[in-house]
Amino acid sequence: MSVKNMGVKSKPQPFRMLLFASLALALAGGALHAAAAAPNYAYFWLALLIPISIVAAAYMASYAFGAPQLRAVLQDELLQILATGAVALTLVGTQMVVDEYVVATLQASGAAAGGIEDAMDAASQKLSELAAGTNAVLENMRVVSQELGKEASKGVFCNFMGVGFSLSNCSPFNAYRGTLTAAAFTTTVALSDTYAQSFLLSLARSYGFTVLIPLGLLLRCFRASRGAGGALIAIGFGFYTVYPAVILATDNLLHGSGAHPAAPQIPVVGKCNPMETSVAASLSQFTSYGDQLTDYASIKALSYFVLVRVLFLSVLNLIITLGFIRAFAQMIGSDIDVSSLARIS
Amino acid sequence: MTNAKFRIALLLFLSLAAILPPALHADTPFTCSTDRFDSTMQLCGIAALGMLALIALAYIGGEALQSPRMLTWAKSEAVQAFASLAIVSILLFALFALCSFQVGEISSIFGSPMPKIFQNAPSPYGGGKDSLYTGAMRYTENLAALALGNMASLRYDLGAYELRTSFNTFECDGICIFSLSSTSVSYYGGESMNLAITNNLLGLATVSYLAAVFQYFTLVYIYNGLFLTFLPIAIIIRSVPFMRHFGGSLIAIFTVLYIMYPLMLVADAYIAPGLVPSGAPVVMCGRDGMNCQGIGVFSTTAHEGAVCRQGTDPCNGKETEKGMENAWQQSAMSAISPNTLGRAIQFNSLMFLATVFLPALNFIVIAAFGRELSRLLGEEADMSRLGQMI
Repeated sequence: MSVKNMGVKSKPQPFRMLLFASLALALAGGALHAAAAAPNYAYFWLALLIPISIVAAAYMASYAFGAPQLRAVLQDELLQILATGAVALTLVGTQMVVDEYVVATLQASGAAAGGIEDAMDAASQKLSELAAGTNAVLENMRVVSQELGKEASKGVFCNFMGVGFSLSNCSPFNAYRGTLTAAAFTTTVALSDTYAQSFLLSLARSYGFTVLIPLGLLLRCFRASRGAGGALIAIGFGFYTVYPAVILATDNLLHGSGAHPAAPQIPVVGKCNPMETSVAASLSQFTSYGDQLTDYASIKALSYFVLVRVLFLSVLNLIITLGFIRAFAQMIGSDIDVSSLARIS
Repeated sequence: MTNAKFRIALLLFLSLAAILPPALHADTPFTCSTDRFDSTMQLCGIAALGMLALIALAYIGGEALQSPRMLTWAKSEAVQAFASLAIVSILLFALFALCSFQVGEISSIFGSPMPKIFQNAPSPYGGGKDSLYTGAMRYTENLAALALGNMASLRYDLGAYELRTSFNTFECDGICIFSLSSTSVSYYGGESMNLAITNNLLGLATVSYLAAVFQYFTLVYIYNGLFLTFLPIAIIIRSVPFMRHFGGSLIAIFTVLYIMYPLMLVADAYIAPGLVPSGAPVVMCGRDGMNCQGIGVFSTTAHEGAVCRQGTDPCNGKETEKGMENAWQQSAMSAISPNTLGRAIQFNSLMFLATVFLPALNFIVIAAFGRELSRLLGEEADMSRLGQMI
């Protein structure tokens, strides 16, 4: 039976079928050699068998009631179910190939010693490292701010025969507190982003291939819910497969094969003597600490870690993933608007 | 009507006749059993009968005047009237089916553990016996309560930081007894940085709370007003020949919001606990004296995603803000110590994802479904703007 006789109206559908079939075949070969994957694929078959059963029952009914028009529609729907099956096969194959590639790469580089079994594990570990690093930076800032505040608040009050005066020669240290607070704001945002990424990965790991994608496959098989199904498939696959791969890729590409520079420790202010009456001594202590705080190497390493490696990459990872989700959803017949999510990123 | 069309219509109605009785006999809790819902069905029936009467009059007129145009119009409109009736029947079937559907059944379908908020729901809904509609409402209520509890937790932290940063001591070094001279120091003055960060977190928590409350009231509106009032109007509009596409789009929009929105919220209830990796529960320090109501949003029967701690390790501090009364000694400053920044940031990230990110995803799916359905029933409706409300 030709494609035309099967009731296909638009030209892109056979093209999509061919594209998915070829992709599925290419990836199935790799999938067969891949390591065992965690997702339960029984739901995939269930999601496809249900609509096939419904279409088959309706097809038989069309003969019973002599309705050839219904048959043409059902043939079109069957083609869509086959296309959905090809999508499912493509997703499973791609996931397995990505996992195999990531694990092989990490094993080759000696980084897979921590029981990493797939890309999701590797990305989770990477995010845990980043969260621990960012938390350490924030904790360091908290300790520095606490000490700075304590030292800057020191003052002397003297009273002799009813005449009193106060001396606050440590207060110039307050000048550094505003900048430190601004830096802590940025670090807070970076830490929030890292936690959010971890939570999203956890969500995808728990429900990507067990709920979102099977549900999407099921919905995609019916005309009225095709758009919603495509959206769910794209979201599930985007966050389960693409997101971890992007997290690993961007972090590794950022600094090539070398190790990332470690985030430096911000120095804690020394003890300030409130009884010190020499202005020169106070000024010297103030400028000396200022020099330590504005040390170029320290600032560069800190900016690299917080601003680029954590903050910028977290936004980039999400933008790339959302871009993929939108493009992939269009490819499988669903036009979704992810601008609201992009704005959140 | 041609023979084939008649057969298809017959097939459709026979199918509906077979599936409607069990659906109508199902339990009808909450929204499903209100009088207003019955009146909606009556209005739909009146709209259909009115349209059929108009068609009958047109047909009689056509026969009387021997006008082929009127006869053709009446016949084509009769098909559309039956189409409207079929749409209403399918909608009612879907609604009754969803009313009898229990959220606990999702556990058995997908093998996912049941969320604690459904498992521990008050009688008679405990153990996952909520319908789709009560389940969605239970989730949004718990989410909003937890978001409010989170704000109370941050408010406590802000209060504690305010007290600690303003605490100043005069340290007597011996001679102060005679000369009243001493040095002064604010041991916690540097916590003004924590104060500023916590203020920012409170802003984020407020956004989360508003998003949760927005979802709650949207759900209330959908249950009480949108569908019950506007669906009959949409069906009447669909019956008017020149407004058919517009009416179809309206039906699609109302249907999507009434069916898909609660469905996606129940789906959220199931997947929200999955946000937290297993074995590493997120800690919330409860300061509202209400045991962090809604904390079960992030837990299932098999996985504890978030735990509530009150005035004990690792939260320290007092259980509520009232405990901060009379905190003026240095020992009291330690006793009111707030939550750590890292922990507060982690919990707020989790709340933001549950209250803002997941609903944004919901609306993407809802908009995609609505677009397809409206295209099927009438003209295409762009519902993507709904997501931007979040």
